[in-house]
Amino acid sequence: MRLLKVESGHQLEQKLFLGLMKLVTLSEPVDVVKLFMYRPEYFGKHFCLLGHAVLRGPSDWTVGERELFGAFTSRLNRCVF
Amino acid sequence: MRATLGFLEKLTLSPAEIRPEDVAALRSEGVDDQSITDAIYVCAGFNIITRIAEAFGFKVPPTKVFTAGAKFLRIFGYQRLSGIHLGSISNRFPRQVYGDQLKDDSAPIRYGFAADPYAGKLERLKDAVLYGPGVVDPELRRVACAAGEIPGAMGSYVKKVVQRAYEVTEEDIAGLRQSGWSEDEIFEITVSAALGAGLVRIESGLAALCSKYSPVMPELARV
Repeated sequence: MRLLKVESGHQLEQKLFLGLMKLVTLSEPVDVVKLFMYRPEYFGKHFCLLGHAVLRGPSDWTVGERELFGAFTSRLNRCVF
Repeated sequence: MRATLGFLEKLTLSPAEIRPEDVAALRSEGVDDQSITDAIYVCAGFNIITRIAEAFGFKVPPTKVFTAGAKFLRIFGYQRLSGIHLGSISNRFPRQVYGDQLKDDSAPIRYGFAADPYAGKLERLKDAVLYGPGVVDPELRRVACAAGEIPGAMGSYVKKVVQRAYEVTEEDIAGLRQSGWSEDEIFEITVSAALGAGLVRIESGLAALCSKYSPVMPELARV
């Protein structure tokens, strides 16, 4: 993570959430979660709400098909996620 | 399925070239407008998040950790969490320079069409990133979002994020810091530029799908 603030500059609630997550999953939260937790009112919260509707909301595509569309798009952008 | 992947490939690589004929080809394969809309949004969402991930140099997580993390976030995720501190965060954001330009939540959605169930959520994302509280002048955020001209190191960085984010390096970010940009400024401008790359794809896709579609940001550059 190239931005220190996004790595560890979270506010109290988000710090607590990330700590709890670390305890439950027994591992360091992944970077994308840290991104969503950094100033969530600016980006993370709204992006997650949209993303949840798009990937998990009602659709004729299955969740797996939609995940495949996403992975396919990432690959076209030469991104490994 | 195969036809849809072909459509998404074109939408990702050359969004400006998407035409109503591309949509017609999908329809003739039996994909309905709602399903095309759903696929466009998935594609746009990943065009946004991959750009941020590449620009910020995310570490690749082992699959197992990623799955566990995703599950945790799903269970204790945003709907629940945002209820606890709704409205409190923006007030306590310490070095906020620009105030909230947001209209209230009940304001009518200014665009969209019948088959687009995501318009409201996209509108709120766009409003928060481009008009909400932050350290960067909202005008500059909108220029970054539209991939417009910004002088100096930030200008070439924004172009990179929009066109080939996978080429962003540690040195690019260090260069921005040397030019006096703070981390929060880099954060907001990167998110704005990545959002623009998603909006362009939603607009091109939905415009080809529905002639009555009115764009989210008419001034967006067709990259």
